[in-house]
Amino acid sequence: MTLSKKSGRVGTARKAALSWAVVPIALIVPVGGALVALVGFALMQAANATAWRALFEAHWLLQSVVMTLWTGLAATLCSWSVCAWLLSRAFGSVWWPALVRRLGTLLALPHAGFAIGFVFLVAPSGWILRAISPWLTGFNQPPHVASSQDEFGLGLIAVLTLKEVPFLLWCAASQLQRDDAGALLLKQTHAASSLGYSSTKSFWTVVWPQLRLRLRWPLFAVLSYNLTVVDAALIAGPSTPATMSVRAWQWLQDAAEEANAIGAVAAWSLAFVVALATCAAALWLCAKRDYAQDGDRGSERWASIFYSIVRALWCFICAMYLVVFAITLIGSASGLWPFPAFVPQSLSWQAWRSVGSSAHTLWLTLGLGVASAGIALVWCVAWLECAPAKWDARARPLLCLPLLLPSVLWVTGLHRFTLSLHISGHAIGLLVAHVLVVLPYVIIALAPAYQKFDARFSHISYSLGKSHALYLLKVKWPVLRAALLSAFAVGFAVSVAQFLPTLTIGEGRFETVTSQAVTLASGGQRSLTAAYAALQWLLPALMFMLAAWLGAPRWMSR
Amino acid sequence: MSLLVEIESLGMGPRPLLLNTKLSIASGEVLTVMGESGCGKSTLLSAIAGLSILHLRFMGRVTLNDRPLDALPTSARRIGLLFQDDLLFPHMSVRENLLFAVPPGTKRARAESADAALAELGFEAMAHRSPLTLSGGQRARVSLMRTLLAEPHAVLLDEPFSKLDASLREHFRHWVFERIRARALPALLVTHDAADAYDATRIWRWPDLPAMNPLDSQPS
Amino acid sequence: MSITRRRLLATSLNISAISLGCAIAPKWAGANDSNWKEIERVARGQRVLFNAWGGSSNVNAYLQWVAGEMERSHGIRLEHVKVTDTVDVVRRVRTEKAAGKSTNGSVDLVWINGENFLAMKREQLLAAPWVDSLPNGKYVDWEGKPTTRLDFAEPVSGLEAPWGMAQFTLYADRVKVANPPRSTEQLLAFARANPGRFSYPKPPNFHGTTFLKQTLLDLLPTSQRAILYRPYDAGQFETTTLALWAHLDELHPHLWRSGKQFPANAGAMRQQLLDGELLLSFTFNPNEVANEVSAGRMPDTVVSYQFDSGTIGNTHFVAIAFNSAAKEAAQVVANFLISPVAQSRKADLKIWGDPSVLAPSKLMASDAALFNAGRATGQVERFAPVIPEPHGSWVDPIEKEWARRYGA
Repeated sequence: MTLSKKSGRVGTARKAALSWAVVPIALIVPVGGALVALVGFALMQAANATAWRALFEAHWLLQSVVMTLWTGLAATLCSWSVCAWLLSRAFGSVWWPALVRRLGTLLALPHAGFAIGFVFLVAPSGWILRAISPWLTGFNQPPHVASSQDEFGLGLIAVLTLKEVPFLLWCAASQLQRDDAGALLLKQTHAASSLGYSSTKSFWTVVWPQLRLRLRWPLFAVLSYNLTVVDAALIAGPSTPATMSVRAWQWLQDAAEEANAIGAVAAWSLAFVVALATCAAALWLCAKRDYAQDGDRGSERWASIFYSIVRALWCFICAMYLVVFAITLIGSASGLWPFPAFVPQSLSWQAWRSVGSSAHTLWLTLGLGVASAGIALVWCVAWLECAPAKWDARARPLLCLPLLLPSVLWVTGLHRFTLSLHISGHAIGLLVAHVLVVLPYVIIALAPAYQKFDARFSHISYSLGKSHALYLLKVKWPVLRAALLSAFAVGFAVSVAQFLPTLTIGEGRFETVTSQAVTLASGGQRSLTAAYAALQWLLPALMFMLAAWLGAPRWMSR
Repeated sequence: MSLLVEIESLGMGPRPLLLNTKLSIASGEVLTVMGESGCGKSTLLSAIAGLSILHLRFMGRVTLNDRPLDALPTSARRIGLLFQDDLLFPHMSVRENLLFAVPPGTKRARAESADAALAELGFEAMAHRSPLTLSGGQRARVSLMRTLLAEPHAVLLDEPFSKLDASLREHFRHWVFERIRARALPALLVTHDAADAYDATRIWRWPDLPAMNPLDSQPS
Repeated sequence: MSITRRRLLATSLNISAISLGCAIAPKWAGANDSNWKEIERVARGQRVLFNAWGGSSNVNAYLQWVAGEMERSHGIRLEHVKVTDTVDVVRRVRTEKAAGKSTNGSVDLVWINGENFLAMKREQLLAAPWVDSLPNGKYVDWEGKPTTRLDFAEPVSGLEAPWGMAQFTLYADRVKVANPPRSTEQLLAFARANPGRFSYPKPPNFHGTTFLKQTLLDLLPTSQRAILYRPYDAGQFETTTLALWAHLDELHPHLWRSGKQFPANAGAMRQQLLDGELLLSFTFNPNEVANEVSAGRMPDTVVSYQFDSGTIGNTHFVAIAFNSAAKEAAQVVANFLISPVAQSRKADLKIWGDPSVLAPSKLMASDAALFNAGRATGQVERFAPVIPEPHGSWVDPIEKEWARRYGA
């Protein structure tokens, strides 16, 4: 009796262990398999000696690599510094909640849409010069200044910096708003203040050293994105010399197969550049720093001056978004609008009527965004719930491949992969592509909150006789509601912003708001381009607002 | 040396916690403030230390050694804080945590103070370890030593013994008070446990606020 | 069986079409009448994926009208797959072929010409010759518009049906530019006089490359032009293009941003002209300006014109991919596209404004009347002679050399 009972228990234990392993395996095999396969397909294209030789003989290679490294590293360093500066003054201050609330709206806008508006702001015929011409500048014609698509890549750096600061801040916020970590860090700054350290000095010696390490994945993602971005670089980056990603993309666009092969190996060399830069960034992050060395307390006066500077910087960033959005909206309704008129001479609803007549584009964008974000969210929750932390840590680099690899590279691999499955050009293939891009963003957004969830809640729940399912449904997920919803909104925004996968894996058969915006940008109709750029912003912004509203805490905290 | 706290009103958000109260502490003296949890004891300490806490409202005056502190930020008040949690910085070693507190000076002088503190603790062997590898009692000691190394003119203790187990507690309490007394610092201890009181004659009980709606005064 | 017969027939007719021109077109169209009926019967119920550039709302609206007509008259479901660049389509079909997808491909009909056609023809990515069986072929101006037979000097070989005409056309606002340049030499003088106010899209952009070809042809003595109409000859490249590079070396310092940067495409140049950054721009659609003016997107003071000595012109076509599952329906659509009704509607400025490929003389009076719309503001006043495109194989070496010299 006892024996059989015992063996029965062992049986269930084994069964439990088995089912414990089955779920994460079932989760990781299709996703990991697809990712490995697409890298394999991309690798096959790299084995082309002729293409490598042609690439290394290309006289522009060095200039392009230099431009890529310059714009990518400068933009990353700028956004990283600005994010740190903002945090140093905002974290723990009354200003912090307001800042965090605004992030969703800023994050929502895809890079391409922002770049379109930004270029119209700073171009020689742009809004800034229109505002001060001719009464101040005397210009009746746009001046000969290369203020957009400048040859030093400054415009591209500005666009990337302005776009990445909210992303990094948002990642930092998701770390800092966790009750445990955020409160502990805040108390630690209080401890440092009581030891005589000024508020800025406390941040830089106590909070930032701990936070920066937790922001390593977001940093790597930003770095890789900045080094490999195609759409924003096409719109705001220099055309001569173009960045590596743009070169690779142009080669891949060419009709000739030999040129495509060069594009593929250029994409691989770009991946190599990204890998090197990421290693350098990792070393830089992990380098030991001595925070206690001189005991210098910092000055509170400097801290307050710095506070004003940083607030002004934040206001500037918000104002840039506001102005870019305004110019996009005005542009979408503009008829004739010659320089130096500040507002259009005539308004026209042509563009919006045209948008209205292709409502299916809007529905597809929405459907694809909701479906891919939903699938990715369910996958991530299941994964984080079932996979042991060790597995997750091991699998994370694989899952983040689409983030770390140049998009030109993994999209070509993915196209070959979907072709081999005969789902390329079908809705299902498109959905697979979107899920794979959305997944890493969702897991990065969700994991910090999910993993730091206080396990004691489950113990209490079980001790009250509740099943695991009931615990998840009634305790864990409701508590994590805000994090789940915002991860979903992030996934949706990422899906909306996709251009290369939509075009390549959709084989041009599917139109989304973004593919339309970029397609139209090639046709040069500013009003229609602006209308789709505005939609690119509005759709994710609405989703973020919805997520914030649904995820709002039941009671406002004291 | 003395710490004088005059409170007209103290509150958290719309909720008033304390009205018209005056607390005076001479050097070497420990005033114990007793109160139910949630009554606002920690809020009082935050106000005295000048911490920027969201929704904290404080009307009144804080004077340390005849020096008004109200306009000063925490970092300039020279008030040491000891919390429930040790709040040692996890990215610094034990020695770095101590060194961090030593006021500016020559590198050598600072290193000597830190090493002296380590010696006083008897923790020389753990100097370069992460504070996370220490036991709770050990961390509590390092934490107090860190507070004192910054040469404060007064110390505020926010239930610093509540997280220690009973056997350790007694010992650590003596150890702390001994050091505060040796430095002749005015100290304010808040606790809800009468056993923590240092001097039974210097206990101040947190008053109920009679004027308030009884529902509002429920501890939260 | 029937497919084999049709293919044989088409091939033999193709040969006759090349040798005899198209004078006999009506005869063979009639001979194939029953055959065509069979094609129409099979086509019913098929779905046609028409891969066509989607960057213009006019074109998109026109194709929507075509889709409605096809559904109504032939029960064919026509879907416009909007593409950014036809190269994507070529690559897609190539990838499908490489992956062994020989049926049910993603491209039924594709809007194509030039290099892309050359690539698809050489790599056998197109369906077997079918154009000569189109009944409406009898209206096409095969003789008067040689570019309908030779696509960038490459024989069409019945693999693509002509759809519309294009010709290099310049435009400027006459308020700002009283005397726009009317030749390549004058253009250089114009750039000198108005530094930074002219440019051309960066090759290999189609319009940029066309500008290079226009300049090259203008600079070459007529006797040497023939070289460009034969397949590329590496030995003659240097001597043939020498004048072009010398000319560009002179021109570039006076271009927008001193020729160090170039606009991305013709659409961007149009926007820059409207913003006042450029004073002169160009297009490949002679009716584009008239279109934009009538849509209220361009001031009515903008005029378009062509160089007096002639400008490069070509024909754009529709082709069927080798792995299309709806080859019959695609042919029916192509046949409709060259009908007088569809062509006249396409030529209508208010609809699209794309010049017709038909010969007015071959049309019945009632059909010809469809084309007699009045002149519109901004339209080209005096059409210059069409200079056919050089052979497509020259494009790549010219683009490569340009990139080597200026495309750092």
